Amino acid sequence: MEPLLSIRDLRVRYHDGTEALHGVSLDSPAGQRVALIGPNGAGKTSLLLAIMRAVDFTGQIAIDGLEVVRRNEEACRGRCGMTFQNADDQLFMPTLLEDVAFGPLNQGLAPDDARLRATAAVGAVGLGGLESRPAHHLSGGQKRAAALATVLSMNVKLLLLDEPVSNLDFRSRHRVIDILGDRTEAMLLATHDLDLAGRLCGRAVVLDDGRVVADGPSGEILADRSLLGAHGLA
Amino acid sequence: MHHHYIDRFAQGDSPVHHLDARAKLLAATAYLAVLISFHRYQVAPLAPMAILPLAAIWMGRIPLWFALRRLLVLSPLIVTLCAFSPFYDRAPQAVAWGPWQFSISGGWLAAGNVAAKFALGILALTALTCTTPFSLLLEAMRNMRLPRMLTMQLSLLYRYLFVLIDEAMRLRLGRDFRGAALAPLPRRLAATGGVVGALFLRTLERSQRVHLAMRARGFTGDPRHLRRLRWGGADTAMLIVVGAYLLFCRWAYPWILKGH
Repeated sequence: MEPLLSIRDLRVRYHDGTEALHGVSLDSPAGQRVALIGPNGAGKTSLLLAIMRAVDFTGQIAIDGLEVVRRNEEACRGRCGMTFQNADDQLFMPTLLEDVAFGPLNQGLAPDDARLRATAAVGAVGLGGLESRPAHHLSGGQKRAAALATVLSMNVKLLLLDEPVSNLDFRSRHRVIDILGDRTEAMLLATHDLDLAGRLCGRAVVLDDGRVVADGPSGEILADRSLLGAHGLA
Repeated sequence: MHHHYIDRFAQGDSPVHHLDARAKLLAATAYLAVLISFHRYQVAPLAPMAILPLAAIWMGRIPLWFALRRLLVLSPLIVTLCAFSPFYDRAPQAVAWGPWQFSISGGWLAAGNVAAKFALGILALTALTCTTPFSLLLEAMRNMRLPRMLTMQLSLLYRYLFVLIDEAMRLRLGRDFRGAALAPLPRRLAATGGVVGALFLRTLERSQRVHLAMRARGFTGDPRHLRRLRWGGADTAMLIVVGAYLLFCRWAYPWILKGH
């Protein structure tokens, strides 16, 4: 069976000469949740950005059989939903509801259908009743949940989540974990939160210095203290 | 942080809040157009123009002190302009006020006219922005066929103005908490320059990340939006009343003042 996400020999080099990824290869079937763990600067965010074709790369990436190249850019992005480390970068519309409806409207939904979808997503992340609030009137935890709602409202096959629970308090963190645990989309979850990786993902990929240094069931990877210690994770 | 004053009261609940944003925007635009159209020596004829913004502020349950404070904050430039006006325009003008008639230099009349227009304009805009969430004003602008890119940019400006203010405040605190107040002036100026430079760079980087976030959710340059505005009988009625009152202020009242 063809994997949903297929990455071959992916290399990312930024304009300042920094090499963020050195030949990463990865396959992931539909519905699989993969934790992408690694220390700061390991290349986790660069990998997610490359999948969205937001940075220049060499190598091959395919999503659901469609190669990530310029001519397929919009189609590929339409199959993925990505949240950023900083929720303020994700929330750019004047109100929460408009923000959450932004993606569905761009996917071609009629305004009324987009409103329904957005209202459901806002409710699902526990922000029901705050639809008309501007983002700057939301707390940090609410912004994070709102950022999640902006991609949950879209009809995508792959969720790319960059540090989805960083800076969240205990309750907000558990809410996000519960929400993500109920989703059926495939996920690539970049984090250095090992507890989150263990709770949500059946598979863990350890990245360090732009290379995959371990790939396997998250239970085994997270139990390997020497591996984690060698790569600044424990 | 402390930027709550920018869109304070806009989420309130009053008859003015419930009016359609398009009706309020049209009424405010008509009001400002009529206000500007008064001759620069006309001061007393402007008096009834104060009724409309004050009524909107009162019906919108916006504290008058809030509107007056906003007026005060914005007034220094206008006050300076008005203060110099009598020196530039010394031509005597005859003024009739009820049974009294006297002569005054045109500069004083022009100063009074500019100050009154400024105050009334700010009150009207305060009434509009404090009774209408900015997102609805943007939707009204889009509905009224303002260029879509302009409304999109206004929307992003409104959204990120608050983020920018927060970042500026955090940077300022970071500077002040390290004893900037005790530093000599050149070092303080250098630190302020650093704050401005850092803000500029952060803004640039943020704009790139926001653009990426928009593209990631399927944005291709054609902004699409939900529709939330609903025009009702109250909106039509309000526009008719405002229109009639503006006609009265612009033509009937000055005519009455002249003693016809």
